[in-house]
Amino acid sequence: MGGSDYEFWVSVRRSVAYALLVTGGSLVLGMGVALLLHKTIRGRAAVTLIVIMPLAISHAIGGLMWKLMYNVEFGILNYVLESVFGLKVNWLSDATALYAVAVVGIWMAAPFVALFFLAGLQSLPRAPFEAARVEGASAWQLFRHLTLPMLRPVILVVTLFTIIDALRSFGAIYLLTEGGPGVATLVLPLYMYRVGFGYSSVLGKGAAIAFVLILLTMALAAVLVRLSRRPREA
Amino acid sequence: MRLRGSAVAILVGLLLVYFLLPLYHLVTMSVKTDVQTFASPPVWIFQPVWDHYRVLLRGKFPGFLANSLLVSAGSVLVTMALGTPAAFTLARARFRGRRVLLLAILGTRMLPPISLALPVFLAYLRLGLLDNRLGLVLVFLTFNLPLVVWLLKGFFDEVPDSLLEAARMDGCSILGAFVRIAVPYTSPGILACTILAWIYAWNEFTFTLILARRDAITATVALASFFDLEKVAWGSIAAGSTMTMLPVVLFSLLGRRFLIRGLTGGALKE
Repeated sequence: MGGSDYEFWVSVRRSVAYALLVTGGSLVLGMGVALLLHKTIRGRAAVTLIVIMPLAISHAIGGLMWKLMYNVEFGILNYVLESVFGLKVNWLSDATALYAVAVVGIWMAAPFVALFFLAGLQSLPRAPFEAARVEGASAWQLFRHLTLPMLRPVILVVTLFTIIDALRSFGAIYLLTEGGPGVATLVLPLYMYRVGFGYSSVLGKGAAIAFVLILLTMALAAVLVRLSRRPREA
Repeated sequence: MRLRGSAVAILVGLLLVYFLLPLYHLVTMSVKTDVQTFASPPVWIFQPVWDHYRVLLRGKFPGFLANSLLVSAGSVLVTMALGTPAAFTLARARFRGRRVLLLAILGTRMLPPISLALPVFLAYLRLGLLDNRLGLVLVFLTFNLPLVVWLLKGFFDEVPDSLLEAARMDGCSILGAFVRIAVPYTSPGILACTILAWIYAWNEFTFTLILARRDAITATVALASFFDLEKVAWGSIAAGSTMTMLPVVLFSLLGRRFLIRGLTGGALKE
């Protein structure tokens, strides 16, 4: 037994990268969707309905759907690429797999984020916005100097929630790549599965990885609890 | 203004494509022949064929769906039976350590299932609960019970004190006030939690993959095992996935108002 485990540190890095990509992506996308829905656009009910769809679908089936989308031979993505640029991409290959998997993670997380942001937006007071609009503030200025600061508590809570959820993602990645090719998408839960339940199962080591994952999650959860309690007590 | 309107329309269009295309791809694939599936350019207009469904329904798949139904219904039943009184107590009783207990419950909801799976696997090995539907029912409590307790506590907080006090005055016991006043008052919340817990149980993958081998396998895990075959049966996978997610999608569309409230209301509080 060596003093260090190469794959463990790879999987820590993969997990951090995956969580950052998914959190960043779904926050931006979720905010966009929430803003769109907040301004009463036409067909809002239909859009809400469609956007919350991924929430109801099992992560495993979500992974499956995207496995079909990414398929080199018959996937829609490659069909579009081929007809526009005349090339085919192996989306789940070494170089792009982590990003491809993160796109699926965003697809699953963004609706949740959007719902929270929408709830937040709808609870904001109207008066400051009207006052600023009278003063001639642009839409961007309103967003940057009023919406964002006022939503800060919600954004913090949602961010932490999303990170925690991304760190324990398993089903979709298991179906898309099983952590591969090689170690390209070997995030901690997948590594834990490989070590603990794979062909050469090493239960003790698996338990150690599982415990690291719990510690990481609980540390983040503790921060989350602190953050979400503050506005209420103040 | 005209320009902004069309920009918004394009954005909405892109969003719809991103969120819906995977769904469309899967469902249409389930009613295409294999030749149509692999055709390039893709076939957009075709006569739906139900062969994939027929093959699946003649095989073992109905059994897997039945497992999904039994396990999810069983676990929701136990979750609600334990979670409703627990949530009421946490909302109404004042005792030392209540706050810590609440946070601990919230914390367990965030635990990664994959981390819990290993000790549960070892315990089930001893208890003979591996590949057992009852074993799955019990383990699903680890994620559903904290969720339901936490969300329902929020709903029970909203029951007016005066209502409960009036009930006590009229001679109701605490249990009576809970059954006759609090439960009916929060019935929309209880319904939302039931649907939500059912969706999570129906969709569960990680625990089932690890704890079920043959007899207790649910539909979601059965779908994953289709890839182990020598020649991947894409049509069957698409048809099976469609069948598995159909009830959930229907339920969440019907109960979307409750669900949105359940999803956002409870977690934003406290």
